[in-house]
Amino acid sequence: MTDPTLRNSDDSGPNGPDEAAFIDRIALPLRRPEQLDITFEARVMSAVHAEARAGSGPGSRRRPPVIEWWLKPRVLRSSPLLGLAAAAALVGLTLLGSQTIQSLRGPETAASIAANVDTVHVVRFVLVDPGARSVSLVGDFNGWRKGANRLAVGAGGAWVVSIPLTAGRHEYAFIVEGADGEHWVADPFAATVHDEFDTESSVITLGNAVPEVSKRVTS
Amino acid sequence: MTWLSEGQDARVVAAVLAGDADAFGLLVTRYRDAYTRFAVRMLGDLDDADDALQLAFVRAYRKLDRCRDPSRFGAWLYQIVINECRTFSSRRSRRDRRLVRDPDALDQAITPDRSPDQELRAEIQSALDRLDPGQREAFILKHVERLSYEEMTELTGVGESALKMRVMRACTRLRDLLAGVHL
Repeated sequence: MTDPTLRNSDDSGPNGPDEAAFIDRIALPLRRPEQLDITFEARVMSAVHAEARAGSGPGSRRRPPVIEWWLKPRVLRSSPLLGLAAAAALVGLTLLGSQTIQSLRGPETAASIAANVDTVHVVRFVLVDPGARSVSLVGDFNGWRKGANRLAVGAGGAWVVSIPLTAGRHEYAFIVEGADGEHWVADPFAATVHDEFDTESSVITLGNAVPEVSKRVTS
Repeated sequence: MTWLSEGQDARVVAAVLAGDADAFGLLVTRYRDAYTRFAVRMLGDLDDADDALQLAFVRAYRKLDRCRDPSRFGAWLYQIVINECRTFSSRRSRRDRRLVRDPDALDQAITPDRSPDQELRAEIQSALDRLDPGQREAFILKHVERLSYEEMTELTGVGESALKMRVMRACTRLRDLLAGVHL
C-alpha cells in the first residue's frame, strides 16, 4: 500500500484538468480527519474481553442458533402428578437404553467408529466456467489458502480437481479469476452456508462421520 | 494507506492468537483513526461510523485466526471495515425508505450555526450520501483516501475497470448534484 500523502498519478479525471480541479475542490473538505469518541477503544476492548470470556475468541466456532437453543438451561414447571408420570417414563427409557447399549457393546463398535472417522475420501470438485482464466479450491481442509488446490481445465470449460478428504463436514468455495478480476463462487450444486460477513460457502459431508454433538458425548 | 508497522502487527496478532486478548488493544489504537474518516464519509454520520467500526474490530478479533497474512493485518481489517460499512449502508437505505422526506419541514428545522467550511462540507457530504453506495465507496477510496486502483481492487474485490467506471459515474453525478453550490 502506498503512502496516502502521495498523490496517485491516475487521480485526474477522464475529462482532464477541469475534472481534476472539480474533484480536488470537493475531495479536499472530505479529507479532513474525523475522530471517534474517546471511549471508543474502551468499548471495543470491553466487547473483546466479553468475547474472550464467552469462548468466542479467535479460532472458536460459534454454534448455530438451533444448537444454542437446545443447550440453553431452562426451568420446567410441573404438577406432582405429571412429575411422577415423567419419572416413570424416564425409568422405562433407561431400562430400554441399557438393553440397546448391551446389544451394541463389543470390540468392533469402537473400532468401526474410529475407522469411519479416519476414512479418506477422494472427492472430485468440478466447476463449469468457460470464461474463467484460473480456478482455485479453498476450504477448511486447506486453510482457505488460494492456490493450495488449483483446478485443471478440461473440455467445455469444466474445471476439475480431485483431493483426499477425511470423513466429516467440510466448507469450501471456488476462487474464479475471470476477465473482471477474482470472484468468490460457492458451488452451485451443493448446500450453502453464510458466515458473519454474509459470504456464501458450500458444504460437503462425507460418509459415516460422527455428528458433532455425538462426538462431544462420546469423548 | 501506510502499513508502517507490518512486523509489529504480525507479532501482536500472534500474541492475541496465543490468548492475550489485551494485546488486541494495540491494534485498535493503531488503526482506529486510520479508518474513521472512510467510515464517516461512507455512512455520513459519526455515530453510525462509530457503530460500524466497533463491530468491525470485534469481528476482526473473532476471526483473527482467518487473517492469512498477519503482517498485513491493516489491509485485512480494512476489508472488514468496508464490508461493515456496506451492511450499514444497506440498512440505512432501508430505514430511509421508511421515512417520509418533507422539504418544508427540513427548511424550517433549526440547525446549529456552521462556518462556511462546515456548510460546504455538509453540502458535499449530502451529495455523497445520495450516490449509489458502490459509487460512493469507489469515489471515497479513490479521491478521499487516495488509494490506487490496484489497492482498491484488493480491498473491495471489485475489478479495476468496474471501479474506474464507478468513480467516473460518481464524479458525473456529484457534478450534477452540486451544480448550484459555490465550490
